[in-house]
Order: sequence, then C-alpha cells, then structure tokens
Amino acid sequence: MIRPEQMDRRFVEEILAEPGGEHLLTCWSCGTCAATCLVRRFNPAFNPRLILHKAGLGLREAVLSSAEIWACSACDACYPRCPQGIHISDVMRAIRNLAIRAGYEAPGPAAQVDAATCSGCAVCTRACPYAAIERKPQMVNGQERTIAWVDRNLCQACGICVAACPSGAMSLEAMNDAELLTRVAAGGWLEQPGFLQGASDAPRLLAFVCQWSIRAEEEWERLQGLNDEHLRVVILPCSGRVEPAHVLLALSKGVDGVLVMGCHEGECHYQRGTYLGRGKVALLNEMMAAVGLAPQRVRFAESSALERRAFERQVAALREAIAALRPAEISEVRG
Amino acid sequence: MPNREPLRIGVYVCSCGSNIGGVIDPGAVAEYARTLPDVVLARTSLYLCGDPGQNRIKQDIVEHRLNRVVIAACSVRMHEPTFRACLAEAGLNPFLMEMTNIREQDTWVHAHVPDQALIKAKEMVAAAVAKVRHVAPLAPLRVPVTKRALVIGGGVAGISAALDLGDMGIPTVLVEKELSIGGTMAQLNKTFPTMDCSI
Amino acid sequence: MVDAARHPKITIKAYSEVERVDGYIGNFRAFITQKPRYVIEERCTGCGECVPVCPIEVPNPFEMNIAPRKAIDVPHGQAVPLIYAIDIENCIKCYQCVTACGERDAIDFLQEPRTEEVEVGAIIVATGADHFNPSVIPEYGYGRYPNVITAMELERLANSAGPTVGRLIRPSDGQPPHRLAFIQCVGSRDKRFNEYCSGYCCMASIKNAILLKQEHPEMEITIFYMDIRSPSKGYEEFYNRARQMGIRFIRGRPAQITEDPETGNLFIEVEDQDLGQVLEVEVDMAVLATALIPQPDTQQLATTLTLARSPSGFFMEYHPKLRPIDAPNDGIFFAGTAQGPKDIPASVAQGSAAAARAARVLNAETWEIEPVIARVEPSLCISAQGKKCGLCAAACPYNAIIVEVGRAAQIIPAKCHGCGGCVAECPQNAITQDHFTDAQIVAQMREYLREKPEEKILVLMCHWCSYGGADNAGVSHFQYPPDSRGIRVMCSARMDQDLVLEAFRRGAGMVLVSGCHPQDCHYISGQQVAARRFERLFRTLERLGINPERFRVEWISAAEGEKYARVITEMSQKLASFDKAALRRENEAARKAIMQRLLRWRSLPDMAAVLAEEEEEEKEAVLE
Repeated sequence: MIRPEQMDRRFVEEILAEPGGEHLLTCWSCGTCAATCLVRRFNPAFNPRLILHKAGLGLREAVLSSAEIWACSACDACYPRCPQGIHISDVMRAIRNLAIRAGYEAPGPAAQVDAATCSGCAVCTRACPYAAIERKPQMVNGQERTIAWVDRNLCQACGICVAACPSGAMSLEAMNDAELLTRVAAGGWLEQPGFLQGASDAPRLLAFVCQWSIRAEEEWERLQGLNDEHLRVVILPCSGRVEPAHVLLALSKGVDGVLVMGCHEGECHYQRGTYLGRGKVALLNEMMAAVGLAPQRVRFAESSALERRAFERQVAALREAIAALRPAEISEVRG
Repeated sequence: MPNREPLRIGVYVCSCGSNIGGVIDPGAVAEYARTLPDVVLARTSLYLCGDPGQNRIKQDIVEHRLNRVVIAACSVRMHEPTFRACLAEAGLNPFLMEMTNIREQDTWVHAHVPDQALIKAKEMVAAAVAKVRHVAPLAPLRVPVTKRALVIGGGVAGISAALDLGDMGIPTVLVEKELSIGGTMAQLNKTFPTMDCSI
Repeated sequence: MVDAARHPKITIKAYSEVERVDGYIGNFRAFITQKPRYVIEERCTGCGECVPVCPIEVPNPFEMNIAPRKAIDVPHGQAVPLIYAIDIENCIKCYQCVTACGERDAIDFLQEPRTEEVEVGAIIVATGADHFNPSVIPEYGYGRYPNVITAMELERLANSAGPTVGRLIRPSDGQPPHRLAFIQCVGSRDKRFNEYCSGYCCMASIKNAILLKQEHPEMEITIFYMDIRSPSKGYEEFYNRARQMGIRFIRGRPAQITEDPETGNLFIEVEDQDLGQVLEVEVDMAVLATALIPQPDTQQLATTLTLARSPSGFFMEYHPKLRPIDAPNDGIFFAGTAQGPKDIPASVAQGSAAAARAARVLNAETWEIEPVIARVEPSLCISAQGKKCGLCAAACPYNAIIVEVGRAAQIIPAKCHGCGGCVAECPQNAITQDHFTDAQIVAQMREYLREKPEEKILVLMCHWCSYGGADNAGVSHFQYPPDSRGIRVMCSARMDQDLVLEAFRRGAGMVLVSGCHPQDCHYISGQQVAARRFERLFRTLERLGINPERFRVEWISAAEGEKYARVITEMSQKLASFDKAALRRENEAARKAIMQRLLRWRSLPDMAAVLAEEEEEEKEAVLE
C-alpha cells in the first residue's frame, strides 16, 4: 500500500518548476502515449503514462529510482498525439534531471570509447543526436589526451556513433561490429554450399531492418521466421547503424541484394538516423556504379509503425528488381 | 441642470456573502464613503440584492429623503435592472443610481492583495459617487412590440421553439437554410432513450 | 417536423438564409433570402416523377455523401416541405424533368433568389452545429481506411430509411461486420482540436451499440473511452444495460488504427488503463464518435446579429449560469447546439426555454428600453449656423441623424441606439449622451486619478464586450495586478480622444481603450469609428511629448477574460518599468497644450460644474 508520507507534494512542485515539467498535472491518463510508445514494444516495463501518474502523485522514490525513466528516447511519437498537448519527453527529461541531482544514474547500455584508438577527431560528437558525446582531456597510458567521452545519462545506445567512428574506437555493449557480423553470417548462412553454387535461382537477400520501422513484437517474430536460405534479416537499433563495409562484405560473399529499412524521414527514433542511413546507401550506390556493380542491388526503404506488411512488400520489390537484372550483372561479383 | 435640490446620496456596499466580504471589509468602504461629498448615509449588507437589502434601500429613500443611490456590488450586467426597479418602487427615478462592480472587477481578481483591493474599492465608490452627483433623471423609453417571432434554424431545437411559440398564438417564421427542416436529428437512426424514430 | 409544417401559426421558409437584421428588441426587421429551387413551390406536388428521368447523380449530403441523389430531388422521403429542387451546378439541362413534370409545369429554370423583409419582435438562433472531420487525425486513418467511419455515417448505414435500408455493411467489401469498435472523444477533449467535451457522444455510441447488439446478438462490440459521461436522467441505467448486454468497454484512448491491406480489417492499439497493458484489438469496422463543432457560418450570423462567440466558437450567452438562453443583445435568444454542444433532450428543452424567453417579450404590448440616447443642443450645432459638417451623421450606424445645412442636426430617438459615437465625433460639443456625459466621465476620472495617478492604468471599456471581458476575468477568478481603474461607456465609439488626453492631464500612468472585436460590435460599426479615431491619437501623443507606449488599444470580447487579465498584467509590468518622475515630467510638459485643447469643455454646463468643484477643492487646500 502506498502511504501518505510517500506522496510528496514537494516532488510535484520540483517537477513543475523544472523546464519541461510544467504540464505534468494536465495528464488525465488516457494511455495514448503508452500505446503509441515504440520503446514499450521492446521494453514492456516502460509506460510513460504510469510514470507521469506516479510523478503527479508525488511518489518521489518510486519514480526516481526506477530504471524506466531513462528508457524514453525522446522520439516524440507520442507528443503529436497527446490530447492534452503534453510534451512527454520534456517531462521525462525534467524527471531525469531531478534524478541526476539526487545521485541516480542511467542503467545503460551506452556507447563506449576505446581510449587507446580514439583520435579525438570529434566525428562522433557531431553525429550524436543526443549531444551525449563531448571531447574531454583524459589520461590515456599516463598521457593527457583530448578524446571522446560519453555521458551515460544522455546516451540512448542508437549506435550512430559506432557506425560513424573512422577509427573503430566506439562500440556498443549490445551491438558491436563482431556481433553484427555474427548475426549476418549466423548458422553459416553465407557459406551454405547450395547458395554459392547456384542450386537455387531465387535471389538471396540480406536485410538490415531498423527495429523501430517495423510494427509490433509479433511482426518482428514473424520476420525472424522468414529467415531461410534466401533471406536473412538483421535487426539494428537504427538504420544509421548500417556500415557500407558490412554491405560490401555481404555482396562479396555472394548475396544478390541488400535492403536497408529505416523509419520515414522525420519520424526517426533517433532523429537523424534515417538521414544518415539513407545517405550511406546513396553513397554506396554511387561507388557501386563507379566500379561496375548494379546499384539496384542495394536499396534503402522507409517504413513506419503504422504500416502493416511493409517489409514483405519491400523484399518482394527488391526480388523483382534483382530478377530483372541480367545474369551477367550479378555474376560479376559472384565470380 | 434640471435637478437643483440639495443632493442626498445613499451608498450601499454589498458583502455578497464572502465573495466581497471575504477579501475586503465592506464596513471600511462604507466608512470611507461617508466622507465623500453629499453622502448622507452609507451602509453594508450581506446580500444587497436580497429582499432585506432592497427593502433597506427603499426605506432609506423614503426616510432619509435620498435622491441619489450608489450600489457597490457586482456587475451591472447582473443586477442593474434589479436595483433600478428597487429605486422605481421607492418612487425615485431609476437613473439616479450608479452601480460599481467591486466583485467581478475587484475582489474576485485581486483576492491575493486585499489591501490593494480595498483601496481600489474605495476609489470605485468615490468615482460612482462623483458620477451620480451629475446624473439626471431619465424617462424610460417604451417601444412597441411586433408580435411575431423569427426562428433561425429548423433543427430539433428550432422546431421545438417554433411549436411552443405557435401554440402560444405567436406567429412564427422558421427559416431553414437547407432544403428540408429537421437538421441533424432527421439524419439519426432511432434516438436515445426511447429508441423511437427521430423524425 | 410535420407538426411544424401543419401549424397554422408557423411559416416555414426552407432553403432560405437571413441576410441582414436591423432594429432592436420588439422591432427587428429581418431580410430573408430564399435561394432558387428552380421548382415552383406552389406547383410542385411532391410526386417525384421528375427523379427517375434525371440522368445525373450527385452525392447526397443528407446521407453523409455515402449515397447519391439525383440532380433534381429531395434530400429524403420525409422532407418538409416536400418540394423538389434542382442542383443547378450539376444539372446538365437536359430538361427531361420538365417533360416528366408535364402539366404541373412546376419547373422554372429562370428562378432568382428572392429577398423578403419580415418584421419580428424577437429572434431565436437555433442554427445547430457541424461535425468534426476526423481526417485530420492521421493515426486513425479516416479517409485512408474505408472501414473507419464516423458516427454520423453509421447513423445512415444503420438506418432503415438509409441507403442500405438498415443493413449495416462495411464500405471496403460490402460485408456485414462482426466485430465493431466505437472510439470516443474524436476531436473533442483534445487540445489539438477542441478542448471541450461534446457531451452527447457517450450516449450516442451506447445507443448505437445497443441497437446493433439487439439486432445482431453475435456481434462483438467494443467501446473505447476515457470517461463515460452519463449524468442525466436515465442515462446511467442505459449505460448499465449496455454492459449487461455484453458490450465490451475498454478504458483507454486508442493510439492508432492500422489496416491489414489484404483483409481490410483494422487493428486498434490501445493501452487498457485498467490493466496497464497495451492491447491490439482486431475489428472489421471502427466508428469514430466525432465532436460537435460550430457551424462554418457561425461568424457570418454573429456579424449579422452582432453576437459574440465563446472561445470554443459557439455563440456566447449573456451569462453562463443565470441567463444561459439570452444573447447579450436584448430580444435574441439561443436554442440547441448553436450555443454549445448538447444532446437531443437538452436541445428540445432549450428550444422550449428560448420560446418562453421570447414570449416574455412578444406577449407584451410594449417593451421598456434604456433611454440612454444622444441629444443635440441646437444652439451649438454649426449646421444650424449654415456651415457644412455632418460628422455625427457619418458616424451613426443607424442613420438616426438627419443633417441639413441651415438646421441643427436632428436625432430620431426611436432609431438611436445610444452608442454615443456622434457625441465623440462632434467637434462643437453640441451632442451629449444621457447617462454617459463628458462631465460624468471626467468626474469619475478625477476620483480615480486623485491619488498617485502615475501608478494607475485608466481603462475606458465598452459595455458589451470589454466590460463583459473584465467580468469574465472575474467570474473565472483570473488574477491581475490591482492598478487599473475602469470607466464604462456603451461603445468604444463613445470614447473621445479628449478623454484619453484628459486622463494624461490628470497624471495617469497609462491609458487603455478597449472595445469589441470589429465583428462583435454591438453597434454595427462603432468599433471601426473608434479604431480609426485612436489610430490617429498615437501621433498626437508623440507630438505632445507623451510616450505613445503609455497608451494602448485592445479589442476584448465578453468571452475573453483571459485576454483582459493578460492585457492589464502586461500594461502593469510596462508601467512598473517606467520611471515615475519621468512620467510626471511628461505629463507636466504636455499639460498646457492639453488644457488648451480641452478649453471647449468649459462651454458645457455640467462640465463647468465639475471643473468648478475642483477650483473649490483647490481653494480649500490652500486655506488648509
């Protein structure tokens, strides 16, 4: 039972006084944010409505100590739908600021910097959508150097910095390059004999799919089920996480086509991920054309949580495009 | 100036329960009013619009030969007709009264600064006294009434109004911009709560 | 409907609009224009033989455009009056209908709009409301997914007189739906669109759910809601009945609807608040309970009748609690959803209430109106001295002033509405307004500016809008700084430039002139007269050495208490930023020029009395 002393009116006032926290009390708990929330699809414990409601009751300890207050990635999918016009990610930030002041820390995961390889070039600080990375003088092997430093409380583990880092110094606890490549090749998929020897005429496709651009958990599971000798789906935190090197590696191993699927521009969960992901594919297409590879074989597609079966449509479209290519255009790389 | 008899002004400060009295002291306003020129009496009342309040005013007009009245209470949009009628019943021209709104435009909007609200109320009464010293009796204007009604809109509300007016014997013109009357109601399937058809 | 048509005292003018209304309580003149039907009313028998021959089909708005009608038709079979009309924009003029009509000869392609003048004593505004178009909510997919429909479309689809003869089918494939969802509060209780609760929709959805469940017991019906609002008599019992019948209620506002493009089925994602879990509910069809919104032509009628609108856009009543039926203007009353969203029982009750309020006037022989009118002092009018002037007549919105050179201007009392615009316009002090004379206003001003005038904001407010706005701030208990002092006049047109100057002469820190918004002006064009007049004043103030920032003009309606409080708060903040000694210096420097300009007031008998009092006071002060 929640006791009266746990309901701290001062906590409510502190949130209201914090920039972004002003509209806390106008929430009437309709649940639109909770049912919209994309984070919640992967982290069912996260419920923005409940956090706002608990905060409105003044449950200081329960709110500040919960891991969920750090889960909001400020994608703002809920904001335009809120009938009370509450900027929920702003309220979350206000609550987090109070938590940081009270000595709490975000549970992570967060991007990590390998101090030895970081050159301090600052590409990552510019790429980070959350301004979570700054350059700081740090002691590395007894020497003071200005290198990247990640604020765990701000990092949302999107992986954009990992993909952006030219020296391979950034890594993500959950999705580093090694793990990503393992997933691509899982079960010896790329080495399957039938595949390389052309036992089947069907084109073989590899898809990198942003986890936010597909609908719900069960659709996700269905996608995994689609994996067979003709299709491999790799889920990424963001289409901005895609690395051209991985795509080229797959093509060199005999994959016919690669699909990169991200959110619609403007709906990216990490704000700039679609822009980065699409840009990388566009650049790669140009490079492919320059070296005589058919650029149609790698494509970027956009989808959203509102679209059902978008992935299947995109895969079918890529299959068709590849089927339309002359066999020579494909065998160039296979051979 | 038609009215040259010596001015005898009565000032009435309403407490309106706690709406005014909860913020400022009506007694202090009345006391101040007594210092104003030509004010012969100033009183407070818990509810001036109530019978006891109005009776007091009527009685004073007669007993104290008041020829001007100032009412410090609520909005003229609310009770000006009430107090005008009150003066008329006591035989005084209803336009020899001035109302000042120390509720909507003072205590209700300055509840957190009662000292300032009191100063404002006093000045509002002073201004009303100043005005009432210069007002003249006016003969009410009576205009004829055309016994016909115009109802704009032939939905359920307009039809209901037109039928009632018609039943009272009042000729009624019902204007509808669409081709048929009935409005939204005519489009509805059976209606709550009787579940009968709506037309 | 039929009762109204048969009633001997009721004249129905359908397909007609009120173009203009003149006059005042007891004596309105309304100009009603009837749009051409291209069918002669007296000759049309309502037989409908013209319809089958007409080759043109157009969407029928009565059927929410989900079914067609012919270019010559009636909206529906029970139309009152049962007179056909031609949709001239879509008619191809094949004249088949003329042939079909034959001897009845009712069709007339030359019909023109006809305007008729009607004298009435009272007006009831019952123009109803419109329905919110939910296509602006992308997450619900209305307009994109065929099986997402509005409540009004359901009314037609489930209506035995409707296009499907009462057989509910879904638009995507014509199949009967087995799983149906109602989504409440679409466009209502939503700050993006309308903050208010539309009130009727909970019961309307429950009604439709019960009707469908009775007819199709196997149908799965779910109502998604935030709160069920069932406060009137019998409503809660009705809601209970729906629950007993097995209609499912889920507390939670759906976040989005997605469609399976193959089946056309809809997936509703919602957080069930009671579970704290997100559900995905698959249905065949979803019905959106859309908000009631003001009619698109509300503003047009508001301007015609000089009515104000509430922040929600519906017509504003005189007082939300004590005079909810009356318009602010005497002799005009509201009924139904024109005044605000409400359901049928409330609309009917308000119709009766409006009839009773109107009958109070209409059953009287005569009606007393305020004798607050303008009067001309003939000896002061320069027109009488043979000079050309006529400024008063130009400012009068009612043509109540006759000006002929050689004669003093004449005001027709019955036509004068007492706005006072002519009083402020007259350069000769020849016109006064009873009960709002210059002397009375200056006497009030003197009291307000007796103590610490430079710390005060003097407000001139019009009776109908700004005084109402100040009242509205009070009723809403919006707090604002206590340094304003208000003087009420009937219209902003009454506010003389000289009154503002006089306030500065008396040392006021700031002055606010506030009236109605142009379209709300109770005296048709009074606000425009004032707006032009005060636009010129800023430059005059500058010339006099008074910082024009100390003067402000704002149009504040009777519904805008929030704005009134905000304007005073802003002015108070600005006033606090001024150096008071500098203000006094400004006033002192301008004083002489203003006094020169105000010399004209000395010729007014009662103003002389006011000024004489001051001299007395000054003498006393010296003696003390």
